[in-house]
Amino acid sequence: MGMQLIEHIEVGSGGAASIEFTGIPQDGVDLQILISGRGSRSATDSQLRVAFNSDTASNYDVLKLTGESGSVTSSGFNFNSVIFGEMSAATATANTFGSSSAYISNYTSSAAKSLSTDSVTENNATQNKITIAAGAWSGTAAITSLLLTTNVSFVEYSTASLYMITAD
Amino acid sequence: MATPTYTLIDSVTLGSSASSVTFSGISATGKGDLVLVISAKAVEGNGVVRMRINGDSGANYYSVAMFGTGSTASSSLNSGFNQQTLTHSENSISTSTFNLMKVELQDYSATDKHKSYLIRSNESSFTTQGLAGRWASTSALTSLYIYGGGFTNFAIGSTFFLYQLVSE
Repeated sequence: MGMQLIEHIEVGSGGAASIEFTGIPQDGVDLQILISGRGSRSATDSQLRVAFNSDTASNYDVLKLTGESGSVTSSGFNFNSVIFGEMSAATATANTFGSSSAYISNYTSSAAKSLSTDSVTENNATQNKITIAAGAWSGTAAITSLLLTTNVSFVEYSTASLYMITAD
Repeated sequence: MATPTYTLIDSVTLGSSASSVTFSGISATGKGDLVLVISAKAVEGNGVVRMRINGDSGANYYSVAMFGTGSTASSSLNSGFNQQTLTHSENSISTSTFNLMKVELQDYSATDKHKSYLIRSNESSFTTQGLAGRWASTSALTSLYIYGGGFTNFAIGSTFFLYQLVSE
């Protein structure tokens, strides 16, 4: 089939601190997460983070390149999740949601996992961010669940779709 | 029922180290794009992954890249190279982790235009890069040759998946 939707989650009234996908089928090759998100943080943007298999230890590395309002920066760090980009947040233009994509290769392998991510915030003003990132999780287990989090919470109407790329 | 449009053409998973991977005999049936997903590490040392289209070793590859190293953000232009590197200036592959690279080649079977592609390369210890490139040929793309610079062999377990996105 090539690319199959595993699950689509939309945040309901009241928002959500996280978005979680569990019971991920193990017959695919790669995973892709597509996010349309807005956070409740009192700022123009808030972080997007992903962790796997309930691993909250410092087993994640990320290397980012961010363009923001006319400047470009690069940063890298180790953390308890992959901080792979940003989405729009509470003080961004109303009704705007950021768009993000995270691609994870060989998610069932017994090797450490690599991610390729792209994120952009939306704001009808000069404060905007676009980020590409290289992420890594040192876990060698197959990915069976993933947890998306942010600085505070996802607001209502934020969505995340998890797709599986298959080899048949 | 929707027609599957993300179709696997071929895949290679290395059971032993190899100096290159070739996808040949790529059919021009149906207009569309190609997506090449590489998860690979090197045997002998860190280096750069390279690509040639249709075996073309002429000075026909052009690309612009933006890249971050975790401390610096840069951009560079490669003009008239005899191969397409999947990163500029920085290593795209290491010996320690499987690094994720994704190449999207648009309208690969067209014979009325040069072939353009977008590349994302990720090595969380070295660099995250986004590249836009062009192969200066109006020939339909029928083969891809992937090999290395600065290292000799791709390691066991490296994977190479080639997908076709059909538009008609």
